[in-house]
Amino acid sequence: MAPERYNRRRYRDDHREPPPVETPEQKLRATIIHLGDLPIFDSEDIRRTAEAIIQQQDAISVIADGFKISIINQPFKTPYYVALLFLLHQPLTPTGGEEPTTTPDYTPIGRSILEEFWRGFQAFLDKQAWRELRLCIHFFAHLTVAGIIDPSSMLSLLQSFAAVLDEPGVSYGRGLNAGLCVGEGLIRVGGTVRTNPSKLSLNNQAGRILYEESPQAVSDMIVSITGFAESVNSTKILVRPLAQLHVLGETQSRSNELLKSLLTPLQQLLESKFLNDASVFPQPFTDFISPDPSEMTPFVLPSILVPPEVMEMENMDLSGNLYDEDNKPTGRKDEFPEYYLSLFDNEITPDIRTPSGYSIHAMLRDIINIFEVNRKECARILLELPRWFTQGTFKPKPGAASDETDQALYDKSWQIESTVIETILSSMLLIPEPQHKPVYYFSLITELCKLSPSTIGPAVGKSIRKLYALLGDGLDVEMADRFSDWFAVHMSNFNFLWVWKEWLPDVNLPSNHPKRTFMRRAVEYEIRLSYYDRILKTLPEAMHAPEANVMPSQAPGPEYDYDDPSHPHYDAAQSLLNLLRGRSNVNDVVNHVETMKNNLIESGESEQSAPTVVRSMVIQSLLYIGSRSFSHFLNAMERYLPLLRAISNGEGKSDILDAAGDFWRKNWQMVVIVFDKLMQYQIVEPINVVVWAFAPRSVKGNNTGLTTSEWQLIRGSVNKAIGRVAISKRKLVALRKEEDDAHARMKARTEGAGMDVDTEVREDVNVNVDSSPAVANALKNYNTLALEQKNTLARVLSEFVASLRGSNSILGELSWSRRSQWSEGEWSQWETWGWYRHFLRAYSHHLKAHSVTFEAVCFAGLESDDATSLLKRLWSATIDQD
Amino acid sequence: MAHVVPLLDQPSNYKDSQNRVDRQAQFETLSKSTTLYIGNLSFYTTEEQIYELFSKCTSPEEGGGVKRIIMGLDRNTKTPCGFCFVEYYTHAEALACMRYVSGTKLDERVIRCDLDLGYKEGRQYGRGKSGGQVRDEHRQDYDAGRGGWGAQAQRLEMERRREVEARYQDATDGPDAVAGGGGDWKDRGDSTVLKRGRSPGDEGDGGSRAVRSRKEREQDDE
Repeated sequence: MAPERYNRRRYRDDHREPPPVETPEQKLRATIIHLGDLPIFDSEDIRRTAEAIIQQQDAISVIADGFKISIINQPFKTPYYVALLFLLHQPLTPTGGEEPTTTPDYTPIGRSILEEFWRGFQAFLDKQAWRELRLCIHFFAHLTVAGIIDPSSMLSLLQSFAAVLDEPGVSYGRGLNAGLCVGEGLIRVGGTVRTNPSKLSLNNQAGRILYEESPQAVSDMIVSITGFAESVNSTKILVRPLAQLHVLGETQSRSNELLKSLLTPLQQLLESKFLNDASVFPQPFTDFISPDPSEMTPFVLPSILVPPEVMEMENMDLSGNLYDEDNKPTGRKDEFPEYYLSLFDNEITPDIRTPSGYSIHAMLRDIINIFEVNRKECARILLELPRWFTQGTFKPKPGAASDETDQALYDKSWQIESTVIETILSSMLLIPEPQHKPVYYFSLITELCKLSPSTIGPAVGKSIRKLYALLGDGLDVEMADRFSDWFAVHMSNFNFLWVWKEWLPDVNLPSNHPKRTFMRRAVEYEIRLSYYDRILKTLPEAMHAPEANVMPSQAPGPEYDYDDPSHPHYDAAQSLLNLLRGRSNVNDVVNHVETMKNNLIESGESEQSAPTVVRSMVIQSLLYIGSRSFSHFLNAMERYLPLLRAISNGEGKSDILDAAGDFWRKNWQMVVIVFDKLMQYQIVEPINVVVWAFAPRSVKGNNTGLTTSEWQLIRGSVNKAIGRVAISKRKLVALRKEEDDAHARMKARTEGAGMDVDTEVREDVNVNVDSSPAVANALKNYNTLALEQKNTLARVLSEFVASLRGSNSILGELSWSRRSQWSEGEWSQWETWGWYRHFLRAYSHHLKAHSVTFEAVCFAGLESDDATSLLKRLWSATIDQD
Repeated sequence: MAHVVPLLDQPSNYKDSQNRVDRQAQFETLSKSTTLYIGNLSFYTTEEQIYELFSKCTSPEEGGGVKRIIMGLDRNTKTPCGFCFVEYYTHAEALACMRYVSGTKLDERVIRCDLDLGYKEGRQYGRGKSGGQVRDEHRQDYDAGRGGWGAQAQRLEMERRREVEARYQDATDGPDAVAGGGGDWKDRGDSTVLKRGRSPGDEGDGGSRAVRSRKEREQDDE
C-alpha cells in the first residue's frame, strides 16, 4: 500500500535532476504537498505537519498555495487536507497528554488560509478552469462535513453552479461541467460519512447537512441537472459506443453516459434522504478531538456568479479580435455526451451508477488527466490508490496476510487493477476523441504492466477479451480501430505475446466481420511496428493461410509494374528510371518525359491515355527509387518537384494517386505516407484524396463501402485541409499583431511629437491594419484555404450520402438480429455507416459552420426511405445540438 | 504540477563542453524545438517503423505531422548505427513524444527521446572512432540489435541485416544529403516558388546553432 521507494525511484528512470536546493518557503510548501507520501502514515503525521505549518504561521500565502496545489493535483488526498485544515482551524490542543505547546498568543490560521484559498478559487472561476473548480468543490464539501464551512454558504455555492444549467442556450460543455460540479459536490457532502459508532453523533448530523439545510434546494438542483441531461438527447445517437443503427433511443448495457451515471446515484441519495451510510472516503479529521462548537466559527463562502461563457475564437469573424493565441477552442472535446464502457461485472469493478462507484470512477478519471505529464507517476499513484480509500473498498494485494475479520471486510471489495484498466480503456475509447492522444493511454497501461506485471497483466488480458467480444455486438468503428491500435502497441511493448489461437474459430466469419477486421488490422499495425517475419512467428499456423486473411501472404513490399521485361512500356520506364537513379537534372527529365509522351502517341497510344501512362511511369519510377526508406522517398520527391508539378495538371492528380496507390498496394502505411506528402508538397489537394478513397476498387472486392484504411486517408486529407487553415490563421494573427504594435508605436511617437504634426499623418496612423500588403495577402491566403477546407468537407459528406443511399437492408432491427448471416457487402455497408457517424461527430464543429450550404448541396432531392432518413437524422443531430 | 511530480517533457539536463552558445540560448531553442534525438534504436529498425510509432504523437489538425526522419549512420559503413532524429512541424508534437513515447519499446528495445537543438549537416553520422556511436565502443554486453559481438546475430536478424546494409549505401554528404520534408504552404498567387524544407518559424536555422556533444548524450544514454 505504501509508495515504495518513492523519492528514490522518482528521478531514476528519466535522467532528471531532483529539484534544486529549497528555500524555507519552498520547503514549507513541499511539506504540505507531500503530506502522506511516506509509506507509514497516520493521524500523528497530520498533526506533525500542522505543527510545522504553525511554526511558520505568517507565511499564509505560501501555506494556502500549498493547499491549492495539493487540492487541484492530488484529489486522492483531499480528506487528509481537510483533517489538516481541521487542526489549523482550532486552537492548539495538547499532543497526546503532554503539556500544551501552544504559544500564548496563537490565533488559529485556518480562516486566513481559507480566505487566501478562496482567492485562488475565484481565479479558477474567472478562467473557467472547470476541473480545478470541481476539485475545490470536493474540498469544500468535505470541509462542510467537518464543520469548517458553513453549510448554507456551501448550498449557495452549488446553487450558483446549478444556475448555469438553466441558462438559455447553454453549450453542452459548460452545462456538463457545471452539472458535474453540483452533482459531485452533493455526493461528497451527502455520501461521505461512514458510520462509526464511536463518532455517531457528529456523523449523523454531517451526512445530511445540505439536505437538512434545505431539502427543496437540493432536490431543485438535481432537477436542474436532470433537465439539462434530457435536453441533449438528440446527439446521443452519434456517440453511443454500440452502434446498432436501428436503435434510436437510449441503449444498452456495457456503456454508461457520464451525466446519467451521476444522476442515478443522486436520485438514490435523494430518495433515501441522503441517509446513505456507506462511503469510500475516509474521514481522518474524526481522529481529532472536535473543539467546542462555540470556539469554531464556520467559514462562510462568499457568494459567487459563474461568469458567462468565453466566446469561442474559432467561429469568430476574422475581422474581429483574433489576437488571443492562447485561447484555443475549448468546445471541441466536450461537445458530446461522454459514454464510458463498463467491461467487468459490478462485483469486480464498481458500478458507476452508485454513489461509491461514481466517486471512484471520477477520482480515477481526474488522476489520469492530471498526471498526463508523468505517466510513470500516474501508474504508481493509480496502483496505490486503495490506501486513500476506506479500508475494504478494494481487495488487498494478493499474499497480504489477512485473518478472518479481514475476510469479512474484503468480502465485497473490488479489484483495483481491473478498475484502473477499465477506466483507462474507457477514457481512451471516448468518442469522438479522448481527452489526450490515445498513445498516452497506451503508455500508461504499459507503465502499469511494468510496475506490477503479475496483477495488471491478467486485467489487461481480460479487458482485451471483453472488448473483442463487443466487436460482434456493434462496437463503434472508431473505437474498434483505436482498440486495434492499442493492441498492437501494447503487444509491441510485451514481446508480441498473445494467445491468438483462441480467436481461430472466428476466421470462419465473413471476411469483413468486425472481429476479422480487428484481427487483420491488429496484425497490420503490429507488422508496421515490427516486421513481417517476426509477427508471422507469433500466429498459429492456421492463421498463416491466405484464406484466413489475417496475415498478408508476403511482406509488404513495393510493386513496380514496369519490372517485367515483357511489359510493353518496359524500355521506356527503364530509361526514365535510369535518369532518376543517376539524379539527372530535373529540366532534362521534364523534357525527356515530354518526348516519352509524344513517342507513345506516335506508337498508337491515344491523346487521352498517353499522359496517364506517362504519369504512371513517372510516379512509379520515382517511388521505386524512393522505396528504400521514408527519407529516400522524400529526397526523390524534393529533387523532382518541378517534374511532379509538370505532370499534375488536369487529370494528373487522380492519375498520380492511382499510380502511387498501385505501387504501394501491399503496404497501406506507405499509401498513407505518400499521399500525405503529396498533399504536403501540394502536388495533389485534399479533395483529390477524398475522391480517390471513395472510388470503388477491385482490390476491395468491388465493395463500394469504406474500410478503416480508406477512412484513414479521408481523415488525413480533411485534417490536412484543416491544418492548413490553422497555420494560415496563426500567420495572419501574428502579422496583424505585428502591424498593430507597429502602428501603436508610431502613434505614440507622433502624439509625443506634439501639436505641430499635420492631420494627414494622423489619419495615416489610424489606418486599418488590414490594408497593409502583408496582412491583405495573408488574409487572402487564409480565405482561399478556408474555402478549400469547406469544399473538402462538402465532398466527403456528399460521397458518404452517395455511398449509403439504398443501404436499407441492414437498418432494421430484424436485420441486425440476423447479422450472423450478413454477407461481406452488408458488413461493408455497416462499417461505412460507422465512418459516416464518426465523420459527422469528429468534424461537427466545422460542419456546423456551413450547415446551410452543406444541407442544400448534399441532402437535397433524396428519395425517402430508411437509409436517407437515417442519413438526415444523423446530420440533424450533428448540426442542431441544442 | 511540477511541484508535485517531475514533468516528463523537459529536456535532459546535461552539460555540453563543446558548445559555444550559452545555456540560456540553448534553453530557449529547446523550448521551441520541433526535433527529437532518438537513442537506443536497434541497428535494424527502419524509418517506417519509426514513422509508425512517432506519428501517434502528431496533431495534423494543427498543421502538424512528421516532417522528416534522419537516420543516424555509421560514418564509414553507411549503415544505421542506432540513433536518429525525428522532426515534427510543431513543438507540441515533440513534447508529446517526450511524455508518451520516450521510455517505451520500438522494435523490442526501450528507446529514449530527448529534445534536440535541430538537425545540422553532418549530424547524421556517428561520432565514435569506428564510425558508429561512441556508446557501442564502450559497450561490454552482447546486444543482438546493435551488432552483437560480431557474427553471432540471430538468423532473423541476419535476414534483416542484408536489407539494411544495402539501404543507405547511396548516402551522400553536403547540404542536399537529407530531405527537407515539405515545408510551408506556398502562398496562392505565386505559383512557382515553394519554400523547401522549412516550417514557419524555422528561419533562424543558420550556422549559429549549437551542436551538442554526442559523446555526452550517449553517456547520458547508458
